[in-house]
Amino acid sequence: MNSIVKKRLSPLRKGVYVNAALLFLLIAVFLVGCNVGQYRMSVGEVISTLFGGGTDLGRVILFEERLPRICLAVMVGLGMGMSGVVMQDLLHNDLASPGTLGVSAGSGLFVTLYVALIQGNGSSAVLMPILALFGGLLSAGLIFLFGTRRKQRLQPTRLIMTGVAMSSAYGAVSTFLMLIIDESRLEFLQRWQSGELWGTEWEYIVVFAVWLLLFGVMTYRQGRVLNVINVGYDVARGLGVNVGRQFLYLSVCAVALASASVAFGGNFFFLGLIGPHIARRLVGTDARVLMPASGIIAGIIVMLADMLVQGLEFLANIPAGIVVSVLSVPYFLYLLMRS
Amino acid sequence: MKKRRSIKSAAVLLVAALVCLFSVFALAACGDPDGGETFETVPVLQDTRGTEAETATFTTLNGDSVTYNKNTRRIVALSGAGDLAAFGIRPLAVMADQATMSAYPGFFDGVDTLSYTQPFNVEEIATYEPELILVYQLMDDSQISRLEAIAPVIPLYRESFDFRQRLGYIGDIFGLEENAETLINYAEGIQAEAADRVEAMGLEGKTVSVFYYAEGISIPPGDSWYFNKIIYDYLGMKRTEAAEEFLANSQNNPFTPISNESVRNFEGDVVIYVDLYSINGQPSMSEALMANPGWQSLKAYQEDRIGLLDAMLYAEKDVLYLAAQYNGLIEAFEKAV
Amino acid sequence: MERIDGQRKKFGNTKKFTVFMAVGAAALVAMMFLFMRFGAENVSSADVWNALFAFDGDNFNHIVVRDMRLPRLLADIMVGVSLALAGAVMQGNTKNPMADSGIMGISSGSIFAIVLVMTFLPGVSRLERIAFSCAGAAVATLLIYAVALMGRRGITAERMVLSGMAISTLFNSVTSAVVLKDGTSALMLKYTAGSSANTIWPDVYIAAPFFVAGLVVALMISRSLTVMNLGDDVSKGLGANTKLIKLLCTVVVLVLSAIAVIIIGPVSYVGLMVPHIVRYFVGTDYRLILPSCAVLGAVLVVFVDFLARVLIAPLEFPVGILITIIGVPFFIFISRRQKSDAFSG
Repeated sequence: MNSIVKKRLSPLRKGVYVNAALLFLLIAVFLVGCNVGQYRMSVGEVISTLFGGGTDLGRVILFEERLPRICLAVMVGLGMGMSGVVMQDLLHNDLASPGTLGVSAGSGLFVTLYVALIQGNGSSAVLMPILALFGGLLSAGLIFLFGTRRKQRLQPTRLIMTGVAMSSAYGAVSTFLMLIIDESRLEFLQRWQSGELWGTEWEYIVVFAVWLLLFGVMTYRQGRVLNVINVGYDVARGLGVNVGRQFLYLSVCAVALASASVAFGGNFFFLGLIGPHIARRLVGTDARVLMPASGIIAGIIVMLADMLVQGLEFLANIPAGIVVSVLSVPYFLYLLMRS
Repeated sequence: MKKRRSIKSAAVLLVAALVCLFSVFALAACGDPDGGETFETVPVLQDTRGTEAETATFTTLNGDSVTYNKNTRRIVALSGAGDLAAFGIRPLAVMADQATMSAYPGFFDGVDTLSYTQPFNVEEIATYEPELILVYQLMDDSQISRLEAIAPVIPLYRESFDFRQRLGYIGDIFGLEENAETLINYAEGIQAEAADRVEAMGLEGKTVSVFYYAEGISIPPGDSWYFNKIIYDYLGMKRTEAAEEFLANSQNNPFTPISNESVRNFEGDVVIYVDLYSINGQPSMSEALMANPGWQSLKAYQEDRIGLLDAMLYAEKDVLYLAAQYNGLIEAFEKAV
Repeated sequence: MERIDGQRKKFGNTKKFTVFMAVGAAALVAMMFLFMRFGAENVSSADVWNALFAFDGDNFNHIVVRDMRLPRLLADIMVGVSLALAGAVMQGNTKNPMADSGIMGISSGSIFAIVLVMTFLPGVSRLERIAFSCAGAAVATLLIYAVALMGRRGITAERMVLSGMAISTLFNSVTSAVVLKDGTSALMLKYTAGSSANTIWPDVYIAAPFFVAGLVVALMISRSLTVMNLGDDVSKGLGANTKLIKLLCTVVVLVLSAIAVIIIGPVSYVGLMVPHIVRYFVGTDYRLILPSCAVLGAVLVVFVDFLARVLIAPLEFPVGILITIIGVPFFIFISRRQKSDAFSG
């Protein structure tokens, strides 16, 4: 009995250590990120500016440009990474993610509609994530509706296939809308769809952070339930879990996390898939350690991509999402080939 | 003796006649090989401001009050590069097309171009440590406030087609009213001259169809293509009714393709083709366009009188590019008549 | 199980096949006539007839019919046949009901190549552009097949779709990077919309030999495809050279998809929809499936392009988008009808 408990505990403990290490790495990358940019500041200047010293210009660069963007990058990663873990565990399928299930495309369509049809000068910080959430939920609902059949077991693969089809449909509608809007909005949309960290103002970031915290905690609290569901719906039912209710609850949380990331950070397609994969190799499958690890890893990826774009003049004007895609697609293909 | 003298005078006459003939040829050649006269290029003006700092307060087109150093040379311009260059002002960095800039040697000496252009990178601008940032008219307030953290920001009239308003405003910012007046007169002079020449060519009131090609023949909408403004507003020519209807139906969206079957219904008295892909500023009709049966159905195509324009030349309306723009248009008209 | 079913139903399927082909051919002929008759310009039936058999170069209506509508019609037919066959062969070859050249990202490779060419070498000729477009499609196809066939134990349907999605994401990302750096979004968006509107006779001449070759090879390997679909063990037992067939299939898919991409641009869902509808009617024998796919594919694309031409004439509607809008609900409907085991590969 004792040994079983020990065996069960040890991966969790290992996971906690790995998470701590990842957190350190995140902070390290974060600090490096503070030093990357077109405006030259020495490490000493950056540190003294961080603690209230430095020049006026240095403070502006650091607090109004670099920090908000890096924070946004981390948060987008956290949201997508955690959301990916929840979706994969809920569906017992490691190919599920906000991107492949079409949830981010659904959010994306609503953002596109908003930009194309409604947005005037000066957009609202709250309206866009709410619309994105609505789009994401609607799209998740549609995919669930089309991807399942009554009186039949849930088939994750069918859901993913429906998601792929739906995202291509949203893509077509988006393309159509993009054909009929003016060029400045078109540029914004195209950049947004490729994954640009655009909501880099503190007011957006505060809204996003509150949102992330709220749904992050709500999701994390159900980590055990997620573990049980991941073993099997029947097992979960046998252990007294109300699968239907928890499934709905966790889905909404996951969609909320992903949609907000999409709304503020743009469409980072494979992020919600790559994060959980790498994390699973490091910490195992326990959702309680997997969720933070996946979020942190995804956050580090987005930060690194953004640092490349900001630091290398050669990559000027290229959204960070494109760098993420170019880096993550080969890895994803490699995963597909060897699994 | 007498005979020899007469031979001599005949030789002199002959030489004189030859010289005359030659000089006539030479004069003709000097005028213009294409027959038409080119427009006078923009006058070269000097930045006559003082060098010591002079604090001034200016009310911008948005109604904001901006305090800045009127004599600063540390300027970054996200807009209006060609207008500023004509004023004699040399900013530290501008947002402009490098190829266009290199076509005006002397006007952009020591001026850098910004790499991050969509819409801008505050850090990159900050590396120039500017004392004044000039931006475009429609920039978001939130974007402006990001830039204001580095230096005073003044938006320029980019949407305005009125040279007096646009250039006068720049003159007011820097206290270069004389330069502004010179440039305004120059611009208005060119417009008037172009109108005269169009009248002389008998084109006034004629219908002009402008086409471009991007996987389908279409009509370039809106005034952001400056040739539209010049042709249809300044030079008093008209669109065909079909073209007006097309622009209304396509809601001024760029590149909405016209069915090849109907292209010839859009043909006006004069046909102009705008090349989006011109190489080295030399517009031409692409192979795909020439092979297009819809294009071939145009009378102007059959009679080889389609005027060509280089699209890139008309993306901006700065006073610096005016002469080249009108030269291009007149050349296109001459071909198209 | 399926084999026994197949043999028992064979007679019924052949009969259904005959009916399907007859109805399909009739529909195609009717669509062809409508296509030639209606459009932005008003052309009478007599003009259509005369344009084809008594052409008069001075009559503009004759030019409309002969030089604008006819090449476009032939192009649409080639595209429809190519896409449907490529989809069917791909589905048979990879045993993947979700395979489609558009969804698998082949066209994204070709768009990437075209955008690169238009950005960095704007002066290239028509032929060179076609060559680049083919090269792009080839790279994407090879990538897809590499991922699909080099996996450890083959690859399941969903994994193949996702690899296609990943590959198209990769190409689209790099394409957007080029476009955004260059600031030519609106222009480049045109290439992603898809249209056969500017097909001219030389295009038809260039594509036709490849088309015919692809068509013939596809029909030739139809028997082997049927055998292969019975399972690798069975086909080996029957002495089929699986590797050669797989290679042939790859080449056929590449050639056919490239033709479609060159002529019309990126069009998804034809290759997915058509084989599914056809299978519903004629069963699982590829000797019956492939010809039926060819007919139905042609009808579908001609019909949709007809709509694109007349809906908002004299403006053109982008065909690719129209097909996707029709295709997606269909796809979902089909995927709901599928037996669940069809998804497990």
